[in-house]
This record gives sequence, C-alpha cells and structure tokens, in this order.
Amino acid sequence: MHNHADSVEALLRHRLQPARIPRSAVVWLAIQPRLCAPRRGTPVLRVAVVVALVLALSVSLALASPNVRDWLGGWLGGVAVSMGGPGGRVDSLYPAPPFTVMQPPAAPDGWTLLANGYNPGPDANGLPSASLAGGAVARRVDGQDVPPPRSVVEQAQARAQDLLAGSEAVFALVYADSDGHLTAIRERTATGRSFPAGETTRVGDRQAVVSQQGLILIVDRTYIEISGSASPEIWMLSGRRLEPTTLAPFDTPPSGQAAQTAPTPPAWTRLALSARLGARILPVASAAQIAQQCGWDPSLSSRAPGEAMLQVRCAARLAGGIVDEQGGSSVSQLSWLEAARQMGIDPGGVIGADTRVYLVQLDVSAQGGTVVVIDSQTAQPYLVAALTPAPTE
Amino acid sequence: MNGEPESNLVARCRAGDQAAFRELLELFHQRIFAVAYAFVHDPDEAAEVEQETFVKAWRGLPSFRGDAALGTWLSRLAVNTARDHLRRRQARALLSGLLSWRASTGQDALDRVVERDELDHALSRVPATIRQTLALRYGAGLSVGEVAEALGCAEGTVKWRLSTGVAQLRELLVADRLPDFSRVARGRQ
Repeated sequence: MHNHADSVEALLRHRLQPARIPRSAVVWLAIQPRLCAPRRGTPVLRVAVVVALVLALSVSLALASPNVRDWLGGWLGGVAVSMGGPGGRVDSLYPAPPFTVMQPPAAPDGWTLLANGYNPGPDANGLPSASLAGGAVARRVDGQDVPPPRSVVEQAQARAQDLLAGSEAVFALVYADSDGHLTAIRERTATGRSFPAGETTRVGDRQAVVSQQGLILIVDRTYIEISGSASPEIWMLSGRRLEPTTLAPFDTPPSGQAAQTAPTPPAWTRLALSARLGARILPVASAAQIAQQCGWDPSLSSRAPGEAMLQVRCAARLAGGIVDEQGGSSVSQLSWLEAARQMGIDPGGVIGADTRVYLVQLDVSAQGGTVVVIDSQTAQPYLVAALTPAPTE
Repeated sequence: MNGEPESNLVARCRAGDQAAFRELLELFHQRIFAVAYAFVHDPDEAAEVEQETFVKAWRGLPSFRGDAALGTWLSRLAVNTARDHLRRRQARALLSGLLSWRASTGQDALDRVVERDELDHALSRVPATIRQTLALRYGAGLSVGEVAEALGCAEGTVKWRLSTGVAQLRELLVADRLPDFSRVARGRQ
C-alpha cells in the first residue's frame, strides 16, 4: 500500500514538473524593459491610471470624419484627450503638453495602435494629475471585432502605464504587430535633456541615437524614445513616420477644470454629444440577453480593460440593434449624473445619480451614430438614442 | 544567496538597483517558473506568468514587509498571477492544462501516453483545490509550509489535501497497471 503511495507521488512529480525551464537570461531580457520606468509614485496616481484605463477609448482605426471628436475628460477632473484625427490620432490634449506631440499619420501596415496615454504632470498645486490611456483594441473585419491576443493588449497597456508613470508630462503610444511585437513611443519635453550615450545615427533628416533606452530623437521641443520588442529597424521606421501634430485647443475656463465648471462651452461643443442627441429608442436587448450573448463580467474593466471594452461594445451593439459598425466609437465610464449632463438630459430620479454607467457611442460619423448607456454592473441598458448629423464647419 | 542576506538584496531592489533584482531573479527563477507551470501547465504560458510575477515583484517590493520569506512571498505572487492568468483566459481547470501537456523527456512515448491518460483521468476526479495543492507540492516542489503560504491556508489543510489526494489517486488508479515509477523518478534526476 505504501509502495503504491510512493508510486503515485513519483508519478505526480514526473507529470507535474516542467520538462524544461527557460534560461534566466531570457526571462531577464523579457522583463528588464518593463523595469526601466520609474515605479509608479503615489497610490493616488496609480488609482488614477487604473481608472483611466477603464476609460479606455475604443476607437476604430477608420474614424469616419476628422470632425468627429469625442470628449472624455471632464469627470477625471480636468484631463482630457480627444481622439478623432485621421487614423485615430489624438487631436487635442488638455492641459496642453509642454512639448510638440509627434504622431505617425497612421499605424504602419500590419501594426495596430493598442494603447495611448497622456499624463499632463502635476497640477497647479504640485499634485499628480490623472493620466488617460486608451487603445484601439479591435479592428472590424467583415462585421466582426478582430482583437489582438489578450496577452498582447495587456502587455501594451501595462507598457503604456509604465511609460506614463512619473511626475512630468508624458505622451505615449504603444503599437503591436501581428506577431505581438511591441513598439512604444514616449514623448516628453526636450528642455534640459540631451542625447544619451550610444550609437549616433540618422532617422530621415533627423539626428538620433541608439542607446540602452532605445532609439532617441530630439525634435523641436520633444524628447522622443522609441523602444520595445520590435527590431531597431522598426524603431527607425516609426521614427521616420513621426510628424508634428497640431492640437486643437480645448477652450477651457480659467479654473482649469475642462468641463465640470466650464462657464462657456468649448469651441467644439457644436459637436458635443448634447448638441447631437436625437430621438430615443427602446433598447433592443435586455440585461439578461446582453449577459447571455456578451458574457457580462463587471469586474473585467479593472482586470483587463481592453477585453472589457470589447464586452461593452458588444453590449452596446446588442442594446442599440446595431448589426455592423462603420464609423468611430468611444466608451467612457462615469456616473449617471455626468452622463446625463453630457447628453444634456434631465437625469430624473429613477436611476441613482452616482450609478456607474458606460456611455457608449457607436457608428459615429458626421452623419449620425448611436448612443447607448448601460449600467456598468448589471448591463441594464438605460438609454439608446440616435445621434443627429453634425453641423457642417 | 551567494552569501548576501535576503534583506540586503531586498533593500537594494527597493532602492531601484536592477542588478540586485537580477540576482533575485536568478535565485528564484526556477522555483517561480515551476509554480507557474504547476498551475498553467504550458511552458509558454508559464513563462508569461513568471515574467508577470517578477514585474509585479519589482513593483511590489516596497510593500514587502518581510513577514514571510522572500521565496514564499514570490510564490504567493506567482500563484495569484497564475490564477489571474487562468481567469483572464477563461482557462479550463488544471486538467485541461494537463491534457495539453507537452512533455519533452527522453522517456518512451508509449509509456508516457499510458501514464498520462491514467493520471489525467484520475486527477479529473479529485477536487480542484486538491489538484492545485498536489501540483504545488509535487510539481513546483514547494514544502508543505510554502504551499500553505502560497495558497493562503493552514499547513494542516495542505497535509490533509496531499494525503487525501494521494489516497484518492491511489484508489482511482488501477494498482496492477501502475508502471514502474521508480524508473520515471530516476529519469527526472
């Protein structure tokens, strides 16, 4: 009997132990780039970054109109990022960064923008400001979302968080190719910075240095680091494609709060949600149907923001009766009160003011679109409405 | 530990010394990989979990109070990371991992298939908590105390699960079909 027990244990050891273990040097090479960024500072900032990820923008790479801007910043207390330029580029940041934002005109062929982020640095009181990060997490092919592998999305978002950490203004972009190789671009002010030690090279007509931190460029006011698991040739290609971005100004009040206390509407409010909210329609699906078809998991947003965005979009498509998305889309998580405020409607008393909801805009173009509001816990669709055509410029 | 006390290594890591962290990785790499493997049972996924564990460790070292040994703390981190990993991927239970086993030993392939099928079948019939405990003890090679720390339960519970698990497996496996495991054990050394 005892011999049998010994045999079972021996069998378990044989079956459960790894047959091979990777070399530690390989593990080190894989993780070392993620250690380079300074540790995230205060819990406040860490929470803010997490919250910001929950707010991740899910933007189609083919936004229908450069005029379509989705504003998301108010509830974060004055940090705003607008994505709406060609190719899903960021086209407005608030507060304005102290450097020139450099972006490629579009993701290179075969590459997908998985995460972006902006940390405007400390506020006027020297406290860390919230950062905002998001990602284009899926492409639409034949009416289906085609997400990159979850592990790649998570790596990209973790990388973006690392890049955004710190106490100075940072803008970050993280791309991935179909094999999961990442290319990360971090931009900060060039003031007080010079090229590090490394191999001098040229990227287009720009001087650059290949250093331990990656490919470094200094363009105008911007110190640019391009790094990641992609090859240096891809870094060079990415560097060559960077162009200065003319950011549209957020027309903000002296208080510095982009929306919460704005006494005068920003210049682009003619495109704001409240100005475009059209007829309400009945939700096509119930919470139970959403849960059944989209696998609703309310805790997903804190664990896997990219995956959560797909889930939310699935729910919104179902509730809104949208068969095939064509235009841009955005997702933000906020209180019902704030959602109602953004939509310019009376919040009423049926839904609790503090109830967390997802405000989803789908199929957005200058011609129309759909707005869906879903309870972030229960998936209960509270509101579905059409977007009216945007006024012409 | 190469002569350097664990506390010194931790202090250097906390100060942002990456060379110290690499030393730490060298020390615990095999163990953490084994813990990860015990849960996900796929070399590639285990590597992913191990990397994530060490990145979390780098970030979490400032909050490491030294209540447990560093290795135990890392193991617990690896267990939690592996669980998150499985949850995220909506992985099936440990058995599913076992079924996708990718062995690369030089042992006779036919023997492996027979043993795998019998053991997998038996493991599928014991509770998941027992399977995980068996995996950490016999797969990752953790001591009873370390398994208890990693799983957040009492040592007595671990001992009970181990003895119960082995007993259940023994009953489930057909005694007269057990292969010569002493040969298997020798092959692993």
